[in-house]
Amino acid sequence: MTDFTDAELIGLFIQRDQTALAGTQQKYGGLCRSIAKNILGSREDAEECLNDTLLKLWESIPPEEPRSLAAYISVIVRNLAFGRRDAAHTQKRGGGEFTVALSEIEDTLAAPDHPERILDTIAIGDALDRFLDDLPAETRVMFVLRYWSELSIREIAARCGCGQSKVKMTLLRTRRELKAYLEKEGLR
Amino acid sequence: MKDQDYKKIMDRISEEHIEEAVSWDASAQQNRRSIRRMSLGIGAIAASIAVIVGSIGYSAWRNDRAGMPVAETSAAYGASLNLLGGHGELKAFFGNDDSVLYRDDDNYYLSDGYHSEDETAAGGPSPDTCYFRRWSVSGSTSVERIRYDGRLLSDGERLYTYHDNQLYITDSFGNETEFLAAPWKPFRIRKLNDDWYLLSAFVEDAWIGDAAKPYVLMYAGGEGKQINQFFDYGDVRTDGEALYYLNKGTGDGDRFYTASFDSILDAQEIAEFPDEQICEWTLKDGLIYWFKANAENEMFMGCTETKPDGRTERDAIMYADGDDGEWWLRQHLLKDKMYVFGADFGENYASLLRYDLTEQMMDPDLMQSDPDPTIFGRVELYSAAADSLWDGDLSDDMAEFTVYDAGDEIIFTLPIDGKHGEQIVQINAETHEYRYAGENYAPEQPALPETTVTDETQIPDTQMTDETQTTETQTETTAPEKASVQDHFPQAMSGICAPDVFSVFYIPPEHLDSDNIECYRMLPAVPASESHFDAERIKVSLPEGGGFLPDPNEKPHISIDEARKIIENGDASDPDSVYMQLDEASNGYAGKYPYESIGYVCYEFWLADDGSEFLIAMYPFEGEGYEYVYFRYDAAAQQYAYEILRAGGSAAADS
Repeated sequence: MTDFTDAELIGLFIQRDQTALAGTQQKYGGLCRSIAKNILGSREDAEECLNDTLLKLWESIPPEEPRSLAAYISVIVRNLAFGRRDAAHTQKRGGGEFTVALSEIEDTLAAPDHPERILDTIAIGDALDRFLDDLPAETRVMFVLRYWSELSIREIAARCGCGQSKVKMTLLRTRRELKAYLEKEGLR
Repeated sequence: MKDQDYKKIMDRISEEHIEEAVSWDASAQQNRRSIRRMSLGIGAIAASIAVIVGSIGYSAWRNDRAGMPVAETSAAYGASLNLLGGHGELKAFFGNDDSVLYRDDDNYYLSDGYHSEDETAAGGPSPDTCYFRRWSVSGSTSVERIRYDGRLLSDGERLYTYHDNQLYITDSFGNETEFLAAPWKPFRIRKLNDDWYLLSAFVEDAWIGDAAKPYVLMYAGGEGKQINQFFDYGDVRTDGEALYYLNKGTGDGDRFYTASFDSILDAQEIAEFPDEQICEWTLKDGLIYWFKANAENEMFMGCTETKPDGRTERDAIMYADGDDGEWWLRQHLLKDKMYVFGADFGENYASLLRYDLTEQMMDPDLMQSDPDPTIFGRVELYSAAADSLWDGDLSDDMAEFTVYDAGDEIIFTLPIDGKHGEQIVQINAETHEYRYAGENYAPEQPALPETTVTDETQIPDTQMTDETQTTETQTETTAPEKASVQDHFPQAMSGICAPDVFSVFYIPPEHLDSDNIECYRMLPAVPASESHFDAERIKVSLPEGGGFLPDPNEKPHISIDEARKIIENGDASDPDSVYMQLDEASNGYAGKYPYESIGYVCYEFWLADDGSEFLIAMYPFEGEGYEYVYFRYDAAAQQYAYEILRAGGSAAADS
């Protein structure tokens, strides 16, 4: 199958040409499966989530005409995966990449010694986004792929063309810097 | 933290950052059209890059070296470094297991394959990372593990690189010519003849999920012919006139096939081995010589004529392949020879023998007459007392050996490391003189004079008067031991800093006066509140690229006992985890700087508020793994004393 650009894929969606689905699956299927599998912990659930994502794309484009199809589809699959996870009442930390990533960063985002403090998720999230603005691009990419896309260290290393050690060390240092940043902002 | 809170926080990341991350193309970011180079830290060479784009026709192959520009020389070294960071042309030699050994004027480079951590999500090797074990051809016997950021291949004659879905012919210095468009990831290439090449690659198959599967493709240039054919069996050889395949059967035995170059897909069966496995095979003089194992795992040697009709097959009981009792023996086929390595712990010898392959070996009458082995061209390439290499009977622990014929030298890997760190044996093919090499190889030292040995946990508190005395003191207090693979690391596990030992932490005599300090390390044993610690000023005196966090005096510390516990109880096979535990316990490092003379980046963890005690985690510019060194100011010596700590416990801790 031809490799479509994002603009071509969006065009096919708008024209109601079902080639758009196959083209999107070819281009973004791997990434979406990874995001969904790492949140849900199950390859089968991830496949279903991918199918739901494609359906959602079909239903939303048009009228939506996303500026970035990559970001648009990533948000959809991530939200669907979380929704499916909540629906399955899988709140218990049972392993999987999502829980590993969460356990890595939760102490960075919130001070565990202040349980009575209400977590201002919006303020912390906005501060996080500002923090990301000032990071080197590769560092920022690794952080987002780990803690937003929930990719594994190995998957991130493959995407960034580097070894897993470098990814681990970069994330470790970035978490430390984020912690200092949030403390300075008075958010933890 | 609740999952939903975490998600809400992450949901605030802007679409711009998400788009950047999910669209990230590492190849475009890293400018993959540049030539891959070994970075040597301060030895890095910037050479001109020339990529010649040409046709992949026959004439281009023939003239691959004509007219190619030579990489510009380096101002620092006055000579080009090749792709692996050494001097001169790189030559490749294949081992009996098809692994590759490279050699240039300086070093040997033994392909270590793909590091497991670099596997892609699809399960195959990373497309752009190779690892090598490197040691000097004639100098240091220390083996270092180095990383090559790229894919380097050889067919035994030429070198190839791979990037941007393209296979390139390259010279030793990175001057490339296009060879073949390759949207898969080749990990091996072999030249069968001037027209035919055998390529092995990992190809992601959508129908089998994410798992990459190895395929073998045949490619032919010349006259525009090209055949891409996936074979499930990749074991293909040639005698120059025809092709021979080994088809590893799926439980019903193995088969040999042959095909002509003119009708390469029309293979004819040569021989069948029901319920048997062919372990190794090679070609010589119209015969396929092979080792096979039956269902009872008994090993046999035999040969088969290389023609589909009139096949003959001769079996000979292997005269040795086992690890039964006090001896261990293995044999391997390489080119037209058989190599046999044996270790007899009862008779106390270990040796590597080489034989010429001959049909006579399959003659049962001859073999039963116990013939003089020299009729088979037997040569003892290497021999040593087993107890010079190992203590005790290790026949149950031996793994494998791999042998390489580099023409004037034979290289083989020992089946188990020697007690002094011997891993590789390098033999002069003519004189049979040999030398060992190993990552932690330290030849046995003469016995030390009896002196009072200090407690290994205490850094010696010695009086320093001059360097000579310091050296003697170091010798007296610790057993000499190669502390690191880096030549610039001290030989002793502990001692006092000197101008040539951890010079960054050495205090020059003119700075011993605390009123004339230039570095915080000049003010030991002073409370933090009274110190003149100035992070900004200290930064100036550090090597370029390093610095300290704003106020390390206020950082919480761990003690040396806690740090030592983390390091020595850590998993030596997972160096990152040890470092991370240390980092977490210390609430992060106080400072970081490159230590260029020995090729490490140093992460400094303060163990005392006044800088009189600190721990350095040293991460190499090339390779992986950490060295941990504890420094403590010795008031009597007026210098920093050091102690090297080993992750996972150490000989120093045990001795």
